Amino acid sequence: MIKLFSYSLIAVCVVVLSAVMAVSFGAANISSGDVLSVIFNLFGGETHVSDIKQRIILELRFPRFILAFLTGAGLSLAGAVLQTVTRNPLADPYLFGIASGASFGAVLVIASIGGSAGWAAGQMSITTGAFIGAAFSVFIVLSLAGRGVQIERMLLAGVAASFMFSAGTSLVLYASDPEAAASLLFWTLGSFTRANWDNLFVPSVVIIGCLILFLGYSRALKAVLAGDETAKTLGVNVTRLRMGMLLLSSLLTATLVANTGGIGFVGLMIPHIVRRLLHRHQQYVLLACVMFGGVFMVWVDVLARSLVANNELPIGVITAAIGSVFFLFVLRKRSWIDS
Amino acid sequence: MALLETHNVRWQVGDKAIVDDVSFVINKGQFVGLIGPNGAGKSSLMRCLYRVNAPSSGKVLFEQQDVWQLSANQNAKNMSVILQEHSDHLGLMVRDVVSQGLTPHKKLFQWDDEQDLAHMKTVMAQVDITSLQNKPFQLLSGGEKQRVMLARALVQNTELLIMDEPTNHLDVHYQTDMMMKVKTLQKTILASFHDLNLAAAFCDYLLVLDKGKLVASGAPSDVLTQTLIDDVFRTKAIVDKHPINGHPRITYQYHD
Repeated sequence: MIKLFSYSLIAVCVVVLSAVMAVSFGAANISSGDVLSVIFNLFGGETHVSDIKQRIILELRFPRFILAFLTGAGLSLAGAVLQTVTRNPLADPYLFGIASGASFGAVLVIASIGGSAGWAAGQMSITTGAFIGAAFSVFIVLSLAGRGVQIERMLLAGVAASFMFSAGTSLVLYASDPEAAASLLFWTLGSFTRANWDNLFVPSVVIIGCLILFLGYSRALKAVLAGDETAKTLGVNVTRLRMGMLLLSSLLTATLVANTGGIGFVGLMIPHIVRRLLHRHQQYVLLACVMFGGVFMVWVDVLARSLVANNELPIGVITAAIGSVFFLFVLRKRSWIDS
Repeated sequence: MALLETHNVRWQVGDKAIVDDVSFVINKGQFVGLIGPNGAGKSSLMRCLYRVNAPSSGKVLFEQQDVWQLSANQNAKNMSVILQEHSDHLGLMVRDVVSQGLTPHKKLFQWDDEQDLAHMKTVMAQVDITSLQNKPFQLLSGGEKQRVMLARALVQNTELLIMDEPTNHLDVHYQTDMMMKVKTLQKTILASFHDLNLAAAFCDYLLVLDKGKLVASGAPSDVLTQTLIDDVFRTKAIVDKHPINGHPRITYQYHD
């Protein structure tokens, strides 16, 4: 208990520290002191920070920090759960076509609304489009997965669905006019630039809801690792559990893709690292995925904003770059997973 | 007292009956062995008992209740199962694999309490895996894995324990060790065997399956005859008494 308490304390400190530092990074020159001063000001303290800086901190940087954290946390959670229900260490939201389905749905909606003009108004419909795309992909995967939702068939069906939707997304991009295409590219590469307080609500609710359900079912999830047949003899309705978890993961991924676009490899990488670090504390893996995934994404966003002066790199490019190196590392040291 | 009964159980794939009209009774406290040649339908029959294969016709009763009327969860409180093949559990530690046995006894959001941890500790000591508890399951040897599976089944704490070839792939030491550990449990056991001598040494009662049909059943000394081994297993053998323990001993004839 004391151990758990001290770990949580460290985790909270890391998140707060990351928040203050990440918020102070960026084009406008803002110090960590300014950030702290503005936070204290919220609770009734005095501040010397100029109004414009306060607005940048409160209305741009903070929502952006929260969206980045939520995205990392949510994708890691989805990845961890998918890896568990498929017993495949290489499963992630992308492998099942969920993310490419969601991207395709979102891109279709944006293309039909007409670029950035209808952006704010269309936020809800973009989310809906992303979710329909994701649900459609899950439907394809499940209908091809065979009786009892066989894992191997499911994985192969996911790869097929993924390619199909990517082709659709590319086609929409190709057919759009250059201005719309630039805006659509946002979805395929990922970015947190559009974060604001209004579009944080849905992702927060979805992530917290999914986390609670995942924690509630964590015993059944652990039992599935014993194999389908054994899990049944342990009293788990494996087909229903796998179906439910797949749907929740799609909801999670679709919500995030709708707000941030395609950000790959996080859902694959973070659960691996967490499982490795916490192999003796299996029960905390999901919570740790939230912390690690969230903090990781916040720092990826800092990198994206500071690697190239006066320019912002797409998030998806950075996570894919880190992820591919990670992948090669895992391949070279297979024992890293095995032991 | 009858714990598990099957009434004319039939399980077919397409038109082919893999399990054909099998009826038997297992009494509380019995150690029952299921024997038969490869492809006789032993695993398929067992799957009908632990609710993975739904019988095409016939009934499986546990304490007079049709197991197919129960939920997976209720059934998991009646019987635990040790399969032949083990998943590598995605890097889970031995302790976590053992704790999977608690699954049917817990509700959503119900974590392991002090009592569960104490129970797991006792069970792990009982099957000699205390020193392995913080090792990844997938790195264990076959014999050690089988002990972990036994520990999980004991944590599941059911009256009936079903084992599909529990001694498969084990060396001589682990074979005897595993069977001795199982034998001393206060449980009802149904286990399938390929090694007829092992079945003769540890079982009170044997069921012989051939081409899906139950062809013989009874005490090992009644069932394991030269004629049966010749007919069912297509092997010439001499059956006499084990010089130390007195149960039937089968000596196969390897050359003409």
